Amino acid sequence: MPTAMATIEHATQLLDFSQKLDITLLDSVVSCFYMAHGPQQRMADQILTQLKQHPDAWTRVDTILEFSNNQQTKYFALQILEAVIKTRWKVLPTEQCEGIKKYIVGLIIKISSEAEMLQKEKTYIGKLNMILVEILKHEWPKKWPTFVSDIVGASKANESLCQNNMVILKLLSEEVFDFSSGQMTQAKAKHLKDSMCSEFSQIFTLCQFVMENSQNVTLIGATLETLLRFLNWIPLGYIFETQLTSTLVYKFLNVPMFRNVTLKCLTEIAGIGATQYDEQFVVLFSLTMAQLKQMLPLTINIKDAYANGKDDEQKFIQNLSLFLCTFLKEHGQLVEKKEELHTTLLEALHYLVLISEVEETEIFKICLEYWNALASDLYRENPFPSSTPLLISQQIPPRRQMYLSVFSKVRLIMIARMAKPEEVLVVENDQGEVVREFMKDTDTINLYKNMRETLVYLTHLDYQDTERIMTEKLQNQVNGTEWSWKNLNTLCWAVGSISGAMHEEDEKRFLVTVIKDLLGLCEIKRGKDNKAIIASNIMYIVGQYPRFLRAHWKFLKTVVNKLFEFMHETHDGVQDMACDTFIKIAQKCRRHFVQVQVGEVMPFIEEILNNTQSIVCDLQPLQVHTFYEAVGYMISAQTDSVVMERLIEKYMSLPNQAWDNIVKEATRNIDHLREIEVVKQLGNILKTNVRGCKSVGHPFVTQLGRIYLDMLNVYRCLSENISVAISENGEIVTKQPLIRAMRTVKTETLRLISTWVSKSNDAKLVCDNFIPPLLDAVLGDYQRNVPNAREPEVLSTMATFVNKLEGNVKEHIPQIFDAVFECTLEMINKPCYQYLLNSSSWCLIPFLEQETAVQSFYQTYYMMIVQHVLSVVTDTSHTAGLTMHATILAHMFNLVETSKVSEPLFPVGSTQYHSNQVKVTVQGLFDLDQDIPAFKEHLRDFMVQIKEFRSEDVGDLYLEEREKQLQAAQEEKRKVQLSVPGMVNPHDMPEEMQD
Amino acid sequence: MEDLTDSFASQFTVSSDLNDTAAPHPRMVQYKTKPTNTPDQNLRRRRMLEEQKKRRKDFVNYARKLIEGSMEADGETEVMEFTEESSGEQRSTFKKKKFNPYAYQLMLSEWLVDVPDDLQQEWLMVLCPFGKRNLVIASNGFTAAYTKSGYRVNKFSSLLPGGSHRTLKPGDYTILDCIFSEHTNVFYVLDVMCWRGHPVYDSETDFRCYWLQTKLQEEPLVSEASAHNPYRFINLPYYNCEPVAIHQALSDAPFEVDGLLFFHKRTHYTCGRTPLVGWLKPYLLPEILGVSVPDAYVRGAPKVNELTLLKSNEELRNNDKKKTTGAKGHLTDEIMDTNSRLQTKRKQTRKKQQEIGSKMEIESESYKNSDIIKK
Repeated sequence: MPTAMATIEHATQLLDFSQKLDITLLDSVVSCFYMAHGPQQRMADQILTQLKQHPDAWTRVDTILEFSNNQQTKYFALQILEAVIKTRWKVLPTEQCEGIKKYIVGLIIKISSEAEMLQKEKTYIGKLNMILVEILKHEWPKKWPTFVSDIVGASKANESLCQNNMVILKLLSEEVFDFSSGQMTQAKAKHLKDSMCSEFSQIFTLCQFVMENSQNVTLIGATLETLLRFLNWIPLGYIFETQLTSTLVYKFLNVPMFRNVTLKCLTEIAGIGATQYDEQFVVLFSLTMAQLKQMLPLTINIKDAYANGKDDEQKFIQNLSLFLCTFLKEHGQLVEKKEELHTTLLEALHYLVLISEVEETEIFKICLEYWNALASDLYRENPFPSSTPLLISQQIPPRRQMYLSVFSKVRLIMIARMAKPEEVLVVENDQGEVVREFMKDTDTINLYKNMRETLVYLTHLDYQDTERIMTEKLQNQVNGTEWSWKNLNTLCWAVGSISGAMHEEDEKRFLVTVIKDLLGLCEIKRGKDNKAIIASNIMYIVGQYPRFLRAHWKFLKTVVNKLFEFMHETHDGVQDMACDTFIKIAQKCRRHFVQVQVGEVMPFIEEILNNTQSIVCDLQPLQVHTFYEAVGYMISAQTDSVVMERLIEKYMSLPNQAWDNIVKEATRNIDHLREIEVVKQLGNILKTNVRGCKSVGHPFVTQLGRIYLDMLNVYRCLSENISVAISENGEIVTKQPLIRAMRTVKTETLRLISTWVSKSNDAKLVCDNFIPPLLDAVLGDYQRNVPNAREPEVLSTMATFVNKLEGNVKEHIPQIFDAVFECTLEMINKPCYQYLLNSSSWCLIPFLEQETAVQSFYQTYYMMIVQHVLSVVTDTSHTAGLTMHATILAHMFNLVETSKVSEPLFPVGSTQYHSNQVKVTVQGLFDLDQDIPAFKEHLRDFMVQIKEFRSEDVGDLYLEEREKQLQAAQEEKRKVQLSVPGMVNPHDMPEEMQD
Repeated sequence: MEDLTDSFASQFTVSSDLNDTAAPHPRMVQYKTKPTNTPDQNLRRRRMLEEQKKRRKDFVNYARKLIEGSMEADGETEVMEFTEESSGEQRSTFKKKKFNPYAYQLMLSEWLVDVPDDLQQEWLMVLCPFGKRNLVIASNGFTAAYTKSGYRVNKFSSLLPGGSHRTLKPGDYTILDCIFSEHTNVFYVLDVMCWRGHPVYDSETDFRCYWLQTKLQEEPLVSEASAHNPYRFINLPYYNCEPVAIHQALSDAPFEVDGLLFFHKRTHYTCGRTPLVGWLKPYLLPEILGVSVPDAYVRGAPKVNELTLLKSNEELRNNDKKKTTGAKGHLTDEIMDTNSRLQTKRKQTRKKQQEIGSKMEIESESYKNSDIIKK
């Protein structure tokens, strides 16, 4: 582009709205933006952005659309228009709105009236349709009551117009029913839904007309797509009292072009629960199955078909799984009751078994959900017999009878593809250390949980079959026919997943065989890699069966000794595996290590403590910490406090010895604490203490008390060092290894204290003995430090205190506030400290709930807090903390309302939205401040409004709600699970349910 | 259940090293052991010493590679693992195995099971404190400590040659085998592989011991803590193996003794486990060597094991005698054994086996295995 540079120089005149728009110039700027590189492209970008943001930009849209020859320029114009409609529609004069509306409608009709044009201008018309829908969201039905009849009427004009109208109706349905939450205020969404339902008959007639009469495939395709969006909300009569379902099945299902969308429609219908239409559902099922059998012979290998299939065929398989699962889940019992449909039912299940073998996780998940529901349903009919299973085989209930052979296949599938139960992530933490993190909520782990649950139900339904399959698969590992690392892992995860599901005696017999076979396998396989994999699988299984371990002390002891042996094994991964298994076992069998077992002279814990040095001598520091935590769990099981105290002393004697040496040397020469080796060692010792405290709990007080004052002195000293270093050398110094190591010591100190406080059971002891010296050392230091040297952990530690100690800590609150909040809140003002916000918000809540603060506090901080929280609420990057912020605000407003604060102050910042919006919002804020959820809804509506003004995405405002709902559902589920033996992983089992 | 526990305790290993010190001493075990087919330690010791005579390696080059971290996977350090299937997917189960040039560099002991007849003449003893076994490499102006598996646990400055900027001269580097005591911040130096760029891998224990002692004495600042030498390096004295000397050493030990290492005077410094270095815990001395130890050490002994020990000891001693005599005729063949002639050897042994009989067949089969692992 030779003229590109010249173009750019002139381009700024585009921003001058007093001149006539130079279309050619705009076209070349746009193409420059899309085609050029480097500074020119950046320049073009800048001009276009400025133009887009210009308040009068939209007045140029019609000219551009009419005269530009460049598609991209037209698209750009439509973006301008869309932005105006989304954010400023309400402030435009009515005639302008009307003008825009007419213009867009006219344009759409013009383009969509010709099939050829419609095809050619696909993207363009797509954008125009979107804009129309945006307008509709403002105008319909109030200002444009005839929209539905207009569009239905216009559709009769010609097929291509009709096709595009279908698309518009689809978009509208999606906007109103699927995406409305968070995008519109609640009242508006409801209003639109009501309007749509009441006018649906016209639309339905149109759809029906097309489906029955049209020969135009693209039109039919569009109509089916539109219908699909309607099916989840239209009144049921339209579906079941018309020919709709039979038209779908007979006319469209077997047409390759339409089979996917048709199947999706049928799935929507299948998902409807309405007993008055039972007969129609039965008919739907048998008709659909009859069609399916012609399309897809029952002998087909769906796994291979999927693997080799084209995109469209793969989708069909996925849709088929959705249809079958949805239908059977909702109406399976209905079909079961019809004797004549049993063959069909089994055929449907056969399809599902075949689909479950497809190597595509998403499809598998669909099937899994159904198998899970079915198995749990059948289990619940006849729950686990509490007496041991005797020789008399029980009568198999008739419903189970029907599913026997299907379930055997499903068991095999679950066992052959069991997901990975735990995932470890190796990450670097703030201090630059590499740490291992156990992932709690990943896709694979959720898949594992669901598979495990299903397999447990299936095992309850027929444990012998599960055992048979597992034993056979294990034999195939041993004889080599299925041997591979992946297969072995999968099998062992499956074996580990059914812990607790069998009766204890059966479980024992089964486990003994499994472990023996695996030991044999480990012995015959050559190569450390192979042996290490087998070893970790053996240990995984053993760790999954704490009930078995608890019942066989000698074996348990052997396992633990073997783990100690593996802690010296240098082969990659073995030490980690040994430590992880050790802590699992320590948690679940802790009591057995502090009791004197039959045939022993002392509790095993004594032996472990005697040999700690030798056991851990080849471990890396992190592994040593894990070891300490594990031993702490054992100690925590000791009930005699005198014995326990002695155990703790012995347990911590090595770290204490090192600690004492450092403290002694530091007392002699304070510079000792500036040596990196020393500081690192301190960090390491404190980490050991933290892990010990975490597992020992409150009784750790003897150890904490032993080092407490020295630790606070070290804290103060290091903190001052850091502060001095930062003020002398700037922030860059925080990257230095020595400073990082010092910060580690600080944070670990705080972590140790808050860990212990959160586990303590004697608030008075904490308040009298531990809090005063701490406040002295930590808070004073916090206040004095330069901002960069302040640890956010101080805030969370304080929050822990207030949460845990409640009223007992009252007298200290003013001191904490003085020292912490003013300087912290000031820091939050600066963008670089925003990370502090969440921790400080966290702290505020408990403090505010304490209600102990005095008037002077409000006078000093009220305005500050409200201002900060409000400015943060309206800052888009903090939506995650919405609940927290709403809680704080509600509390603050409540204070004003109940006249607890004599000076009512309410800040409305420098915002530009409508003053009556603000008024309503403020009113609402005061009205609702007793009801946090409602308050939050209200706050959110307010924010939707702000964002309509600012035109931003608001989807994430609801994130937290959705998470909450999920969580509630999960808790509900857990309650149910606890009643099924083996359903809860032994490692997720609450403590009181053990032993 | 009893069976399961036994096989769990006895056969279940990853590395399958003979007389692995991570496991209990073979004569202390509480489970029934399967009859062992491996040659006894005395025989393997003799073989090792014979092999040592033939091995010639460029240790200057070896040491330089080690300090540069450029040791390659096919070096003589790691055992080549033969896995039936080692496709990419399988490997991902364990974190991708990367060759670690610092792994498996230390000379590791076996339990001292078969007491050599020449213990008092041909062996030296070192008292070991509790602590972590580290490979210490001082080069390029800093000092690094690695675990047995090659994980770097620390990086610091030391006054060892090459270990700090003050002690860095071209070509100066030091490689030591140490026990680190974290509670006292002391590196107890067990052995020396390289001092000031001069490798002593292929020197006998006698010499290495003398060398280490002399060199450390020449650098007195190394054994004192200072800003440039935060950790002290102290050499561990070697003792002769007379009962009185052992008893005396234990009584005078300046630290808490973890155990005793017995070095054959003629062994070079080799990587990995070797029967030429033996390990005993103090409380095992009365039983295994018949050496009395101060009471404090016996008090720590696990009580239950004593019976097993006394009983099986007797049996084992008798067995040993049989094994040693039985193996004598075999030894001449073994002397000819070198790595390059492994093929020839296999044929020969196979032929021989037919003559000697099935017992020996198993024995040399497992010898071959252990041989492959050693290389």
